[in-house]
Amino acid sequence: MINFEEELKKFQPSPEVEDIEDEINGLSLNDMSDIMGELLKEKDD
Amino acid sequence: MECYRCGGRMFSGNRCLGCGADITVYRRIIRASNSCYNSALEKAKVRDLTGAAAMLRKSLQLYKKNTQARNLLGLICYERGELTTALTHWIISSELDRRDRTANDLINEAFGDKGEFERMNTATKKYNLALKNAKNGNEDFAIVALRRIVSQNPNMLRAAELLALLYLHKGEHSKAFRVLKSALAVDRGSTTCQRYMAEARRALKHKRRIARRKEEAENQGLSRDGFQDSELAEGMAARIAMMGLLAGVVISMLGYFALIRPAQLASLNREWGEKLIMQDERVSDRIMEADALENEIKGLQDELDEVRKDLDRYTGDEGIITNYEKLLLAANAYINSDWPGLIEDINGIDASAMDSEVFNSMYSRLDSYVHSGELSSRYYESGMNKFAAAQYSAAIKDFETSFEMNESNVAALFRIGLCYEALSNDNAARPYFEKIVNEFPDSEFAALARIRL
Repeated sequence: MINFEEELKKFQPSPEVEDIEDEINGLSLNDMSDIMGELLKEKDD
Repeated sequence: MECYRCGGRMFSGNRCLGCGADITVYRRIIRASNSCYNSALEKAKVRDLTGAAAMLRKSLQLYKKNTQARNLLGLICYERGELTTALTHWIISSELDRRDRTANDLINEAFGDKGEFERMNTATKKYNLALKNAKNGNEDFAIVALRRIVSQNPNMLRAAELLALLYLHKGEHSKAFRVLKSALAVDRGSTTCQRYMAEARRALKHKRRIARRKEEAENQGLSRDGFQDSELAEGMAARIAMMGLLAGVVISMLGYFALIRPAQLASLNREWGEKLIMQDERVSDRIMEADALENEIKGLQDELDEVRKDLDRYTGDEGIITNYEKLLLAANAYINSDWPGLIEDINGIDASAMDSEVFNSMYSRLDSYVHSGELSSRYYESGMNKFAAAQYSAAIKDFETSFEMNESNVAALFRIGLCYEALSNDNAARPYFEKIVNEFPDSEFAALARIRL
């Protein structure tokens, strides 16, 4: 049985084109190689 | 591939020729990323867009510069009606690898058709508004808006999912089913759509089951004993029909008294309540009008009193017009030598109430004539004439008037005494002579008065 209120909470507003700058700035671009680089750097230090 | 440390592109085995970094693990990460990308591509080909998007995100988490994965992710978002997210990925992709023109071509295609672009952006805005309405409880408004969005943008999955949810909530399972069917045709991997579809199917199945049972029950009820004895069957049918009719009538009446009548009464009450309020407002308006009129009347009454006072000032016994009349009468009396009239009229004028120069000038002239001695002399002359004519009583009055007007006119006193003597009334004469002697001892008549005494 679907709980309407709970399902409705999951819906979030869709970003509009005017908000694209915020969307790009908010996107995290860290990947595995960045994490690996951080780990190696700590190891070297 | 670039070295993760120095960005160099020259490698020897597993070593970067630029910085000497070991790229073994790095290569594995990139391979894993590409593997995810391939898996996503397979899913996308069979329209499992949700599954493909999940794999592509994993691919980018492993290797963010996998522009192929990023471009495909943008394309999947665009296909699901998420314009801004798609553009975001393509812009980032074009920045990360400027040599690759794929992202730029995709952006140009999306922006190229301005109408399409505007339509999608407007649909996004309307979707956000519909979502807000749904969360605020205005579900009907949200449904109307979402129906329009979905009909114009069948690929906008979020709108379709929200619309399906609202239909399920309203109990319109068949409508929800249709919307979800179209949505699953766009993205068959959407878990949200699948869950909602399962709910819709379950509810529709349940409804069909109930309907079937009802039909069976109806069929069973009619066909049980009907075909063995036709007359009995007819009688039974008639009885059943009658009972059904009676039951229907009873139920209708109950329904009427339980549902319709209270609503009618409530409506009537509301109507009469509104009429009562209107009447009350009218009465209040009338009262206010009456108060306003009363205030107006009071104001006019005050004005009237003021006007009357002004009028009195002009026409009262000591009013301006009366003073003018008296002055005219006094002037007339003067012209006609009506000295008693002149005295009366002049004495009746209230000169203090007058501020006319002409009036005051004439009044002063007449007043000084009366009170300064001129008129006294006239009365004295008149008295002398009457004395000479042996009209002693009349002469006495003139002499008395003369003395009243000028109390220094001792001659008039003396003449009064002589008149009384002429009338053989010495007793009446005596007081006058005594007055001259006592009050005017230095006058020329004192000695004569003493002699008379």
